[in-house]
Amino acid sequence: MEKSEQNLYEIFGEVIAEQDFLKAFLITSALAFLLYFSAPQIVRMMGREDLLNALRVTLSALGAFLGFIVSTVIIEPKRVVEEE
Amino acid sequence: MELASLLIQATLLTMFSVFLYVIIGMIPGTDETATIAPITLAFLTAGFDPLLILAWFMGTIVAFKAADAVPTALAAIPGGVMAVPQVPDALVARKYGYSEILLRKGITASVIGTVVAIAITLPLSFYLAPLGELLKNSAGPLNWPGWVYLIVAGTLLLAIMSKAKILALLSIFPFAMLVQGLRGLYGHSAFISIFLAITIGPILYELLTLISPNNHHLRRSDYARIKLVKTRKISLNPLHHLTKAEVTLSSILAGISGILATFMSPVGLTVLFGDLIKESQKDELKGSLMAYAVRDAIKNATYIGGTLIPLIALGVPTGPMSAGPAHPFFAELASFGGLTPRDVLLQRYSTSTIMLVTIYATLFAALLAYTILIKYSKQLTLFVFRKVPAEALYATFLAIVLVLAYNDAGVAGIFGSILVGLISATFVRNGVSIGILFMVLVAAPYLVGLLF
Repeated sequence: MEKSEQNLYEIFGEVIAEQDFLKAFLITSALAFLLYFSAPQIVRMMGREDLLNALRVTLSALGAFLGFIVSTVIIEPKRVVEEE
Repeated sequence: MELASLLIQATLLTMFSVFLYVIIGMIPGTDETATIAPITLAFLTAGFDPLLILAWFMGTIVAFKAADAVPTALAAIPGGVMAVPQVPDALVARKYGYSEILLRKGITASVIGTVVAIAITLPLSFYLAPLGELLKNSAGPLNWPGWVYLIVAGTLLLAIMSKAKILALLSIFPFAMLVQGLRGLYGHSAFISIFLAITIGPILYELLTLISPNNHHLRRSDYARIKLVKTRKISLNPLHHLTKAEVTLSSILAGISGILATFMSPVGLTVLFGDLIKESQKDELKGSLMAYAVRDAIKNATYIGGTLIPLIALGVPTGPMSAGPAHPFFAELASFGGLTPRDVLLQRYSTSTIMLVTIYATLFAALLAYTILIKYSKQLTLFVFRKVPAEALYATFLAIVLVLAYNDAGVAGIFGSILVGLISATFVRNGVSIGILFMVLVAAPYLVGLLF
């Protein structure tokens, strides 16, 4: 069975590692808020400042989703799968 | 917008939501509200067309509910909260070597539940539309609008039916006071941050426990070990997978549950009818297979009926589904000039357009999810278990909630969300249904009004 250098915890039937969760959380939140706060510049560049509120939320959700992809690539799932 | 263009956009959105939510649905522990509501809300707050978002939402719930039973059948690990009652059935099937058969039954029954629910509840919701006006006028001894009596009655019913009856009843007024108290502090009738805090509460509670020195009971020394049963190539013909009795029971109970979900809890109905079926059979294996299939049909039907009837007929969230995962459609949003996406939907489109797009998106999603899951369930399960870390998923939903809470009420919104999340989680962890908290949130101004 695999071992990890990190502290492992069980949450909702899943095993997660402390540092990996922190890493994923920082990546997703940073990207979400980065796009949220850069929305005014982006709408100005597009010349559509009326869309600010709409784009703010969409862009931050997009940021969080990008964060999900990045964290999925860099973090190893804590599961050992065995086929019968 | 032209119908053809609507249908093309609905096709693309449905395909996207089916692929994404088949994967999310298979990840253990993913709560339906926490994974669907924030994204629906983000789309609607951004001002996307409400009909297209409804199409997206239908595709999402169809795929999500069909997929969350896959890890349940193959590994006896529930894909989501709604699949928890299916675990004992899956264990019985595994004991007799019937896991693969169980998988096919579950996926097929969820398609039956979808078809029956859309066929019954969508026309019914238009037929019931005159009731909506009646529910909006103030009347009765408390001078509440009609829908408030309904939601309070639903809350009481859910409280009496829940595991922790007394605690559930006791939670109603304090929780309503918390909601109204925060709104007073924020200086406006904030909804989104409080709503999302309830949805994310249980995950937030567990994650905060990790920072506490008392977290030793959650510590593990090894990775999670998952055993998958063997499967062979599976026939695409749905008639091969269910017995006549299973088809009949799934259809009838899906129809009834789809309507009852207007006021009642989807999890409650899944447990109730599934257990009744199981107990009616003498043979353990037969009872479990039947109960598993029927529960899968009910899951999809309650989500569809619990969304469509309140959304189209009543215009107010009257049950745990419409006050929970589907609530973003009832929220007054700045992007729609202070109107709700539901009002905009009904003003902008004719009955026939709404029916056509909704039926199309739901059936297309069911067909796509069925084909993908029947053909590739094993490969998908292996992919999800081997490649998608739980950390990434929990972090993503937490980030979306944080940013929407900030958008709703600034830094105070984030702290308010932590407060509401922890209190909700305390109630939920002690047996109070999360549906009660959603319904109290909706009725909070009226409930608190009774106290002063």
